[in-house]
Amino acid sequence: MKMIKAIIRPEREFDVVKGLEKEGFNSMTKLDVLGRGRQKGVQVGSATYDELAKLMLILVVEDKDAAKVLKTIEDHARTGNFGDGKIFVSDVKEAYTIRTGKSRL
Amino acid sequence: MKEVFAIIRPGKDRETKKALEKVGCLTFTSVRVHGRGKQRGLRYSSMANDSATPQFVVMNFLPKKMLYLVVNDRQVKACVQTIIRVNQTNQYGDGKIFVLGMKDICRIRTGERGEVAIR
Repeated sequence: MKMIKAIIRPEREFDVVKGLEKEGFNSMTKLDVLGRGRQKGVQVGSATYDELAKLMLILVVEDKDAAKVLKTIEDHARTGNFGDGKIFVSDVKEAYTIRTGKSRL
Repeated sequence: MKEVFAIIRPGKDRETKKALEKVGCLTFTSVRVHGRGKQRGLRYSSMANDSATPQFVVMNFLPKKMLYLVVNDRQVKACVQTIIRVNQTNQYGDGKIFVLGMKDICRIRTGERGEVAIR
């Protein structure tokens, strides 16, 4: 299994979630975060915004679905400007459903 | 070392913390998150606002608590079992636990590396 952490623009949330839903990935966790990338935030005139509001989506999917999820998030979150975000993928060793206590997704 | 993500009901966090203390998992980070599972949140009809016809309420994301722990390899099993035992209500929405590998840890105060940095 793979854990996918996507840091996206908060205003693209609806599109991304709807897109994932259409592909059949209903389960996810979201949290509001602050972050910055290589541009070190944003400078508007004399005002600098060091950290910008972003949304982090966390999904855990089977290995074979990971590429599809990445593609879906990419397509729906992209605006072509700096600050579209990043997607990180890591390996999940085990997953448990608390309701059943079983070790499966 | 393993990192454990547990997404649980927000009302159960205090109980979970107490139970985890008993099995020796003292350290954790908690975040208030929003999440949903296979059921895509909550959908139900409500008779609110005195309307004669029931209204269909859709909640796409539900408030959850995410506990984030880093534990020793030998503690993982006890940790997972405890979280399952405390949070099990046999209803949808109890949450999930994910276990990931962790390569290295650094305690910032002393600069210690590896397993000694956990506790």
